[in-house]
Amino acid sequence: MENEFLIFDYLDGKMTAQQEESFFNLLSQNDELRSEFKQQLALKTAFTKDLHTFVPSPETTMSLFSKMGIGAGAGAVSSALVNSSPSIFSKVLGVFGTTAFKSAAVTLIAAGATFFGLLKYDVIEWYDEEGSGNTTLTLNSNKIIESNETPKPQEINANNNSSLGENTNNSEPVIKVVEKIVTKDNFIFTIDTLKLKGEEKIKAKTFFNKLEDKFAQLVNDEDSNINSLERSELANYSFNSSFNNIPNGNFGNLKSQPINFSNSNLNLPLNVELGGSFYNSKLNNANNIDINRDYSSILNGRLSLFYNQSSEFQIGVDYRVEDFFQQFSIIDGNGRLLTYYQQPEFTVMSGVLRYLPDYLDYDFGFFEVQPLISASYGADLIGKGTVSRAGIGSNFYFGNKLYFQAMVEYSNLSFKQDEMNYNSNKLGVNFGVGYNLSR
Amino acid sequence: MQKDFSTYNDADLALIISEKGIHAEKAFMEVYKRYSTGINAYCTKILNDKVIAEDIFQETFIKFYESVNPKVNTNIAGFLVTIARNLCLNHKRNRKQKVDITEMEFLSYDVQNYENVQMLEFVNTAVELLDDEYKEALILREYNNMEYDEIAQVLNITAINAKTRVCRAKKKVKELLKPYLKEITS
Repeated sequence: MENEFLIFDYLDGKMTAQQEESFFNLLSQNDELRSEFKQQLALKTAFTKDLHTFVPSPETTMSLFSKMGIGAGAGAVSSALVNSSPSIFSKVLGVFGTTAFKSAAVTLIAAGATFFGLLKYDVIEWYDEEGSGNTTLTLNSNKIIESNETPKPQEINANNNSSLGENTNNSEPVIKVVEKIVTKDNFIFTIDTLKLKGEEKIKAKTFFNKLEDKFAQLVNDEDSNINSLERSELANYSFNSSFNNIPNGNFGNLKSQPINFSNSNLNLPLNVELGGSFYNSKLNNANNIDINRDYSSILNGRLSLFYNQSSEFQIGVDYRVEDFFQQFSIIDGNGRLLTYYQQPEFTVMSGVLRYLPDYLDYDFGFFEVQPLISASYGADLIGKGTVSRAGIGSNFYFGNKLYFQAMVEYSNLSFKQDEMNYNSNKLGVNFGVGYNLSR
Repeated sequence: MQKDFSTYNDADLALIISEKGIHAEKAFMEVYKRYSTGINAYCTKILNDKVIAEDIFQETFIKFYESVNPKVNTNIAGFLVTIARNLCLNHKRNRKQKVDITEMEFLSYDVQNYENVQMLEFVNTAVELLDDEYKEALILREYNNMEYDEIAQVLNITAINAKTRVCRAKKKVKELLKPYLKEITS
């Protein structure tokens, strides 16, 4: 027992370096312990592999999130699948247990995926029914793209050893591939293992070919039972599938390459903002001119588009129509006081870099405050001058996508007029409303 | 803005979920990602019924979402297992556990190599054959990756007792799989 405890401690990572050294010495001298160690190691490995067979199925996860009213199940599902992908084969056997072993029933388990980010929570369900020729493709759990009069799809029970080609009940789906893989712009389906025999492989391949045809039909067939909105959404997708037959002993594995539903039009990592500013404006410098630092309020407008490079950094462009107010006076050679007013108007296009530190982000429950700092540099579109800007403020999210923005902003204008160089600064508050397309 | 909840610790996630703010769902999804496999394994192995296990698995996470209290439930894994355990116990009170010993007959099958996936079946069945108290300790240790003191807390026993149960469970599994393991390690 003592030796076993040593092995357990080692496998559990509970040993110090010194203890490990002693343990290895002991191992090298003791055949019995070495054998015991190998067995325990094999067991430990088996437990780890077995664990992978318990990754919840996408259906289970969807069902749970649906019960909880959570729409965003995809990330978790796909993440879980990513983690589980190396063990799909073991999952197949784990799920089907001894039934699969004894009867060599043919079973299809679809799993394995990659995702690049959270986007949209679509479910794609595929069903084929033996002999009926019907293939149903559902986009979104609550949106039936085409239903015809196909019986409500039923899930294959994990213990159901009905197989492709051995189905005795025509109303039961023969193959079901249910995946909900959410990526930034792709749905990626990887049918990792199909344990099918001869004829069944062909049927499975036919099934997927039918899906491809069905997909094309849905997009192109004016008579199909989908409305124009859904059709236009569907048109944003493309469908591709391919298969490799990989012989494996008595069984053939039919393995598909990722089947991609690409949709680049949805959930772009972009923010759009519309804003206006209240500024106090003053002239800071003009060549040797006595400056009158009067102030004036000016309202400016802007339209901004940002690319969310990460959760903390945005780069974008800022289009503004703005003016800078300045007033200055000079005494001419005749002793007269001359006062000049300038209110040059600029149409400025700037490049903007924003930093939105996650650690300062605060969620109040009904709204979320997202602090930011911003820097930009741009030029007037007709080359009258350049504008540098720095700002600090916050986004206030009410909900997931819509936010209001308040930012204190400092702007510096450099421009030339009548061979004189002017520098004008303004400090103000910029208010805006934005929409986050990536959430 | 998308927060990377994978960098958050359990206590922070529990806090965010309990506040039920706009990030609660995503925080919950991170918890689900971390612990769903272990909880699913626990429910399935304890109940030996995949359908019932799935119901209880789901109920576990629903209860967790509704009741997590960051001040009390700093150990999310422990809290989840406790919920799952109580639900499983409630269910088991209403039914009699029965393991078909004849399932072990396939242990006499020829083994070609360790990588053979049949091994998983054998391990699975061997675990099923354990007494509940050993099985539970083993599952919590090997499938939920819990420390002995955490197991002790869940099972309401001492840490030493938890370790002993896990060791005995492994020993028992090893005995059941002896012919198999000998071939593997020879």
